[in-house]
Amino acid sequence: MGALTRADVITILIDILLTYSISLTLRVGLLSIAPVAFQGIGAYAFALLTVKARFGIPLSVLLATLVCLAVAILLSFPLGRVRGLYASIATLAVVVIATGLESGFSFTGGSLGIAGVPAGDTRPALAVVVVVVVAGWYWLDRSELGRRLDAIRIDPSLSSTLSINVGLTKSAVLVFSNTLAGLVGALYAHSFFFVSPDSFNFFVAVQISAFAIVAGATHWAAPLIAGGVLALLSAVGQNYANYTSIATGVLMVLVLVLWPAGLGGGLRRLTARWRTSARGLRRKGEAPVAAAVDEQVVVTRNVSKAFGGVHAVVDIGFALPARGVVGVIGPNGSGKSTLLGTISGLVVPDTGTVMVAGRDLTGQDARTYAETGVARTFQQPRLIQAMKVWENLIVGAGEHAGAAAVRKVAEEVGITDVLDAWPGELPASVTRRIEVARALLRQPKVLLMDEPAAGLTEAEARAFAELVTAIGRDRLVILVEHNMNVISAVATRVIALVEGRLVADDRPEAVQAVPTVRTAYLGVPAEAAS
Amino acid sequence: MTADGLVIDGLTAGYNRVDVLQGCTLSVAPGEAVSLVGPNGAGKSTLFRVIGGLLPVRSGSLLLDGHDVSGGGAHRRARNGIVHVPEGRCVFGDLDVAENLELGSIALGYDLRRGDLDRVFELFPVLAAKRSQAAGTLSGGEQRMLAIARGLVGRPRFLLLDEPSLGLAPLLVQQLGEACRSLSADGISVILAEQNLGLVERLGGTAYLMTWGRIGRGAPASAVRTDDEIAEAVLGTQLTES
Repeated sequence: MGALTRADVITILIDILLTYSISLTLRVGLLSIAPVAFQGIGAYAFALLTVKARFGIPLSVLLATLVCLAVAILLSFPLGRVRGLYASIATLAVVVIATGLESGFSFTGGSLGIAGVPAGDTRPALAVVVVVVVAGWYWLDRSELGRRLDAIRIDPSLSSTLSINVGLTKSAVLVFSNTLAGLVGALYAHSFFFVSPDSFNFFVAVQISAFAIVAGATHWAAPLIAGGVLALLSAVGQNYANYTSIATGVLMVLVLVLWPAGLGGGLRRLTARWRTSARGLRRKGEAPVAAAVDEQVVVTRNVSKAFGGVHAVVDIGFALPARGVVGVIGPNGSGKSTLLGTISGLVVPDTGTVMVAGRDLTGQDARTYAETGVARTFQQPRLIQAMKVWENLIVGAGEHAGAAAVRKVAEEVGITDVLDAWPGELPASVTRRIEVARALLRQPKVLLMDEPAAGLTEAEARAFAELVTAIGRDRLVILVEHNMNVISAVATRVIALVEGRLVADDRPEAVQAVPTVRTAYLGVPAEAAS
Repeated sequence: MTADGLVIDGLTAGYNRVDVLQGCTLSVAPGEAVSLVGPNGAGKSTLFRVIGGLLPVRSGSLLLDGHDVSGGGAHRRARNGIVHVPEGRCVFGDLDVAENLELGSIALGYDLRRGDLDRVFELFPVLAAKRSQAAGTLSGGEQRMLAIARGLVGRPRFLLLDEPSLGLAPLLVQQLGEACRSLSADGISVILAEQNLGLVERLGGTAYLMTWGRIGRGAPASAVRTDDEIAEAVLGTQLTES
């Protein structure tokens, strides 16, 4: 095996950077192939600026990158609206369109491309970019921003209830990834004497995205290793084409069989032991204080919602005070979760208004509700398994998430001992409390709890009820629960729904005596009513 | 050993390097009703995953009518008549209610009979009303009902229900208890992992206390609240919250 040529080294460095570009989009749950198109746009922009406009090289690199930034921002609007697999196909379309434009016009040189581009040794420049990008990713893995990106990938709707702006963050990631690829493209054009559409086509896109998928999204070093090794194999392979392409294929399959989440997932597992502990929390951040309160913190009027012709809730109206625990009961499918959804912004009512803390939030998204002071827990605890407990607590909590605040909330909720554990190792009684702590850390005015006592033993349920009572001293708690012992112990007021309609709104004993509630919900004789 | 029924002896299993089950011993005769109670994290769901074939046996034995069935995956167990209804929702959200139920009868070779459907629709009338609605649009509790109903149409000989009461309204828990009791009277063994002692009492049969990966002494289900050892673990004569 001979020494690597200058072109080989450049290609390897470029492939590593493109792998990082695509890997970043994987991090927020996308697979954008567009970086290969943007490499082309950057390369062509650089070629045209130097050959036709006779601009200097540093200026041309800068301008080409800015062109890519502008195009990336424009494209982020349509791309940000497409979801899942369709988003990947949309980015593939960008590659096809870009290749078509590059080969379709005479001023871009048609299928022959542009020759005579001023060339130089770009190895130092590329190496610097690689170092900056790797260092940036290393920082990202340890930062609050990195945790937000992970949260978006793992559970987008949870993220929005934690007031993370999912759409904007994804768009920003796409813009960054594409602009980085544009810069790489300009350096690519400067490395060789010509640019041609063949260098940025569909096949290149597939190859680089395969590198990124092998790398995975979750470890700073993975794109460096995966992109580096695979690009090296492909560079060496020009002499021994058959063997190296077989070796490359086998290597890719092996990595993905061993670590389905890619090399990054594997590296993360190997290094999980050394993952930062709760001591890594930022020092600043005040301990939470009781939220400022209004007279009636949640007011709904005539709220109705139908799903595909089925009326989930019909004409619901109530006004709830700023402190205390309000129970919501009703048979399965009576609209309890839909009602909670309308108060947390996850469900937009068809008619009616929802006011929180004096603001009319009807039609706003979950993030706006979260910012106004609504926090919630879910029927099935939604904790991010890939993060330690303390990290789960501070995802999206922003400025509230200082060490003092986390410690105070953890103490209040009784989870001080498990901050450095992984959520998957903990029983339901503890994960429920972690969800509560995560919600409290946001200093909510309203805390919505969806069946928090489900699956707890009676002893655990009793202890949990005490916690709910304590939380309700400083804010409004809306508690959906089937465990009537818990409801009776904590709620001072109970709302009963039957078939989407509000059939009772009164003290717990009074609601349990309502005939409809007894027959449709408790079952006669109402044995659980105590 | 040719005893009829499900016989587990010294079973261990777990995840990664941790043995969650540390030697479980239990035998369930045809038509017997058995409940496992105990604190969260004791290994009830893990035991169900092993019996259901989702998690391999590490040591010990798992016999069905005297035959070793510890090899083979979940599909084999289903064909042997062991049906596992896991905790949580576990329905095919894009398929409608009837299609979900149809999938529950795969073990019978798609032979879903009128009678099987009538029986689950009688138990959960709301599923009959919503039979052509996509499962993903049902409420949380309704999805639970569908998961249980799908287990029932598989005509199990052994039905493993992991916390079926989770998310069900009190009235439905009562009805579910009656239904399980009648299944057991029909010769189907019902094995329940539950925190809801009302449901355990309604099913009847024997309740076993499970703690720290081991199955303890059994007691009549009617005595779960009065048996000293079980009451302390489940009702908490003193609070043991961390």
